[in-house]
Amino acid sequence: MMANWNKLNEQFDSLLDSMSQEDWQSWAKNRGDKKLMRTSEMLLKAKLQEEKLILANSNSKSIFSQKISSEQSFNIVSIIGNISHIGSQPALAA
Amino acid sequence: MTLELFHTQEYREPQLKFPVLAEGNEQWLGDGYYFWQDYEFAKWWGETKKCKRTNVSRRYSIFTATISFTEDEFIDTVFNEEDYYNFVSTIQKFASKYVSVFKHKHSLEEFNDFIADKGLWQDIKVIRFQDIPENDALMSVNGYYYKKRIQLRINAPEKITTFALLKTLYCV
Repeated sequence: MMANWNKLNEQFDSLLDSMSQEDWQSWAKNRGDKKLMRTSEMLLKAKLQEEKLILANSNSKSIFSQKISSEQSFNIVSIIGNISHIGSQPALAA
Repeated sequence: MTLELFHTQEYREPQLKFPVLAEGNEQWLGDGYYFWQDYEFAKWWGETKKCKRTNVSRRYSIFTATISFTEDEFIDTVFNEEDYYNFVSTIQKFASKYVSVFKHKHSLEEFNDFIADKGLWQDIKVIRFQDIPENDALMSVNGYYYKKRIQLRINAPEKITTFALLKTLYCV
C-alpha cells in the first residue's frame, strides 16, 4: 500500500483541465486569504493535539506513580515483614 | 505505520510541548510540521541554523516525536519509486499549466498553495522528501553526498502522537 496515485492523478488532471483563465486568476487573487485560514485551522488542531499529549503524558505519569506507590507499599510490607522477622532473631555479631 | 523522528529548535523556556509550525514561502512542501529522519541532521540543523547571533541562550534543543499514519496517507519521495515519479510528474504538470496561464514560472509556495487550496491531496498527511544535500561535515568524502538529508512534513497535527525533549545542547 502507498498513496493512491490513480485517485490523486485523476483529481489533479481533471482539475487542471477544467480551470479557465478566470479560475486561475481568481485562485491567485484569493491565495493569501486561504492560506491564513488554513494556518489558523492547523494551529487550532495543533493546540488540541498538544493538550491531548499533555493529558496522556500526565495520565501515564499518574498511572506510573500509582504503580510505583503500590510497589512501594508492597516493598514496605516486605521490609516490615523482614524487620519483624530479623527482630525475632538473635542479634548477629558485628 | 509509525516513525520516530527529530525536531530541532532554539532552546526556549518554557520547554516546547509540541513542534513549531513552519510557515512561509521557503518550506519545501508548504506549511506544516517538519522533522528530520536522522539524528545527525537534526543536530547539524541546530548547530548551523539555530545557533545564530540572535540566539542569546546559545543553546538548541532536539526533540523526538512519533508520527502515526496509514500508508495511503503517505507520499514517500525518498524510498518509493512510484511515489517519487508521480510526485515529479504532478509538479511538472502544474508548472506547464501555470506557465501557459501566467507566462512565468511558479514559485514553490504557489505549487503548495494550489494543492492545499484545491483540496487535491486531502488524504495525504505525511510527505517524506530529500532536502538539499550540502553537509560536507557529515560526509566522509568531500563533495560526495551519499547520505540523504531526509525530512518529513506533517500537515495534520493529530498524526504527531508523541513529542518529548531528547536533549539540549550548547552552540559550539
